[in-house]
Amino acid sequence: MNILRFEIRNQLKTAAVWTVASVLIIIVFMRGVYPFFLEGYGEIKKIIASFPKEFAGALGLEMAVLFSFEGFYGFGSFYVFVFGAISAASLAISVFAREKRAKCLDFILTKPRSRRNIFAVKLLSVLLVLAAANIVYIAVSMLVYSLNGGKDGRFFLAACALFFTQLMFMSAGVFASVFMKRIRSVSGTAAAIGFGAFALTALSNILEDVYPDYFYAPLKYFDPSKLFMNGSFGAKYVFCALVIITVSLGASFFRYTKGDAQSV
Amino acid sequence: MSAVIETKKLTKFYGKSRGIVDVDLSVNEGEIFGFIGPNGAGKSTAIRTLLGLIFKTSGEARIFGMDCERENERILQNVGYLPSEVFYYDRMKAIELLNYSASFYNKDCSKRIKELSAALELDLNKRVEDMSLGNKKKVGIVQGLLHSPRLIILDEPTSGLDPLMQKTFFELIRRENARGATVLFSSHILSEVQRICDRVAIIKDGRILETKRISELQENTYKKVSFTVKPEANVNDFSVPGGSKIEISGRSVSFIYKGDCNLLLSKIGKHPILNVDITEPSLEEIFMHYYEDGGRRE
Repeated sequence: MNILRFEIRNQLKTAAVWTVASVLIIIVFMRGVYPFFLEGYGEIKKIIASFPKEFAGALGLEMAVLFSFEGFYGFGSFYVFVFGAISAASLAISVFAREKRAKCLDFILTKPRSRRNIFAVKLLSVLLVLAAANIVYIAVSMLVYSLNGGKDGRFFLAACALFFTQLMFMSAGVFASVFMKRIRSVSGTAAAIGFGAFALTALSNILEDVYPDYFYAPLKYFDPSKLFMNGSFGAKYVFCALVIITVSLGASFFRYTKGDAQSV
Repeated sequence: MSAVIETKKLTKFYGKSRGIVDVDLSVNEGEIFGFIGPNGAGKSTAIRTLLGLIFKTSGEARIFGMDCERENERILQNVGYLPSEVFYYDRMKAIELLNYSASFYNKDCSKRIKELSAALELDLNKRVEDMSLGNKKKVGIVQGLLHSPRLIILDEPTSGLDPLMQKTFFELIRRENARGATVLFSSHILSEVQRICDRVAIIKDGRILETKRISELQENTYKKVSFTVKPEANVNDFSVPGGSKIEISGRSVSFIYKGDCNLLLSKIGKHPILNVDITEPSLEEIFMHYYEDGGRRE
């Protein structure tokens, strides 16, 4: 319990800032930007109608989804995902690389706690903080949705997508903390992970017509737009996410519990 | 007397690099055991293996009769450790760090924290990162002793402490020992070990060369002697029984001496001396002169 309390207390301020920021993004997007966006829909429909019939049909359907509250939420949430990915990785690195960065690994590892216990408690602390942040985020998203008269039952799952995405990036953060010899900056390393994923997403968007699968773009695994269009995130991507989480955490656990502690 | 620490052929390699090889140690309950060797000899590797910070390549290591890897958690309940270099979390006051450290043990350590920090004149309300090296070391000492451990492992504990504080520190360790604690004291400073330990193991190149009582070691203590004579004097023919590696350069003579100090002084006293210096040789010098033949005494 002492490690759990210690870690949560140390993360609380940062987690609160990240939570408020992501909630603000979704409020600004859905309550501020979306109404303006919706106003232009009539004009865009007229333009689409002037296109050839087949093309107008497909485009019109995509536009209808995008201009729906759910579709726009999917579009806007991508930015929250980038933000959330960085924050999850940052939290995990902050917790798991805390002793390595302060050069006090000896301190914690010479206390009467097994390394398994330390790893598990640290992981639990990150999960609890992420869960708490996501409860706030999901609650605000549902509130905003209900204020817009939304009734789609899938919206709850779409709002949970941030948490699923964050679990992957948390795992990546744990992996980086355990395997990297030195972590100079928590935010720098987390940003590198987040922006790396952002770049892969951009690449997948460019290659979408040639190569529709996006296994290499984890930020899209739980894309709410896909959920609203196809009815699910796609089993293969959910499976990929599970593999990433399991492999990252499994390898990190093995290294943390069985590896030599670096001396200073 | 039961052994608190016992290792059998304990070996640790870092990849292909040697850490320790076939280390056999036996530290009895209630003794202050010195572990001495030059830097890089393997002292810290042995200690870190005992503490479960690193994993052995082969051999056996037991503390309180329990396996150092499998039963590490139970062992550490009764072990206090002071590393050679102390680093702690950022943005924490000494008292916060010590309370956090104390929270790992199922006992109230607040009284001990107060007592120990008072003895060491440690300001508990100061942030650890703002402290001098010596004060950080004091925090390390308190956090290593606050739970009244049965075994205290000290790795080069006096670095950074001024002589006065070293004295206080040794008094603290003696008091802990009188309470019943066993102490493993690693150092590369012979005089420190001689000052406090009952027995000592000498380690070099990862291997234990010898384990002996301090009294035996003191009988064989070498001195590093150098003196300079006045300009008119001649020391070209200087020699003394028990002296080795005698080097004469102009009016200065230096050598390593083992034997009766009175004889040494009378021999030197025959010359018109300008300056004389008798010091303890460094461990390297002792090893060079005392263990030249691969660990066997000359």
